Amino acid sequence: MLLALAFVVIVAAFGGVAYLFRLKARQARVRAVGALALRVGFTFAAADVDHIVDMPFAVFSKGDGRRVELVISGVHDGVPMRMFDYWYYDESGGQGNRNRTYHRFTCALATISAACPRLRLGHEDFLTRLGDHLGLGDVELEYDDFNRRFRVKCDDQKFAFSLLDGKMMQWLLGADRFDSVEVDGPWVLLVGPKLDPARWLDLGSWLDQFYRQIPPVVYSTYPPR
Amino acid sequence: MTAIVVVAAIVVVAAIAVTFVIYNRLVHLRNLTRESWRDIDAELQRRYDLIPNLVSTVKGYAAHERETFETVTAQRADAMAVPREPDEQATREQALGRSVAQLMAVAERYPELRASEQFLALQRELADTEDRIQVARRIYNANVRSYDTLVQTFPALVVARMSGFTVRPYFEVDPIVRDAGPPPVDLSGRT
Repeated sequence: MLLALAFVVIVAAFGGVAYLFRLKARQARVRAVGALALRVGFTFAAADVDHIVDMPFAVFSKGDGRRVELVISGVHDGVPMRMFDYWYYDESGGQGNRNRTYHRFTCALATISAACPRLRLGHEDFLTRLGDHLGLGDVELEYDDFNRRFRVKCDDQKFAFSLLDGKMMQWLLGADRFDSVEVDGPWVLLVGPKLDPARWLDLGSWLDQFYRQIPPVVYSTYPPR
Repeated sequence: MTAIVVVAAIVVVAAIAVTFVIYNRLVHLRNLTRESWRDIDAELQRRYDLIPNLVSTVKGYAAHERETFETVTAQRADAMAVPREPDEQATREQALGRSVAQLMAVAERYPELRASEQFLALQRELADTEDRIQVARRIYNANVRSYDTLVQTFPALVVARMSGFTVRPYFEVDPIVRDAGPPPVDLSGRT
């Protein structure tokens, strides 16, 4: 009996310490992101006051629960953008035995002067290649290197080819440091692994460079509505 | 004996099903190439519509360059004349492109023309049209590649030959004008 009690106390103590560590780490992250916003002249909101999580991006419909937090907003190298943390969880198990697996990202969102059809650029893996062979393919462009590395989902073939010209494809092959890029309407969303706030500006710079690679024909063919 | 008959029947049914699937895929891809060729045609028509304005604008400043204007006009008429196969059309579009490039080179020699709003607007529109032609061309060629690959590989090759599906030609043209220029950055505050 005493042994069981001691065991419970030890487990609780470990749990409490782990919780405190997580709390401290979270507070440090909030402070760091706030300081970053101040340094670069962006505004900072700890919560998702603009309802970014309700935007029509595929990544925001994953999982059983999700949240956007620590949002900084401003203009980076002339491009209006927001950067934020995003997580979602998958829940498994029955009543009384629920298990949550969290997936954490840092994202950057920019606005462009176009009304683009929905496009998602991700990476090929074993399952997607199998799907290609079964005819569940993505948009195949003319560079095999690009097709082997990336998966392009877009219902509008013309938009995919307009956005992903030779220069853009070359650049993406050399700047492959993201999980996915999604374009929908006037928004471009870059999704990457969760980053230390000191590296958030790298994300902003990447999105800025992507913005500048967008071919002029996209703006003329898909003008703002 | 019964087992052999059953297996044979399954094999025959499977072969028929596969044939149907391949045939439908060939039809789908062939229609895709035709549709994307129509898109190229629409963009080429934009180019044809622009050229007379371009010629008359340059003529206003360089009326003595008659030979250049006549060449462009003749090449345009030739390109528009009769619907052709993509590879033959590409040859005529390349010739038209060279003559328009020559026209632009003539325009470069006249600073007043280069600075005129009308010429600059036409130049931007021409660059945009060339970009659209290149997009349409890339889509057409990608669809042709998928279709030709299927027509030429086994077992679709068998179905294609039995049904009269043949390879389609690619369409290769160089743009007359490269780069319409960077788009303006929108700082309207739509964050």
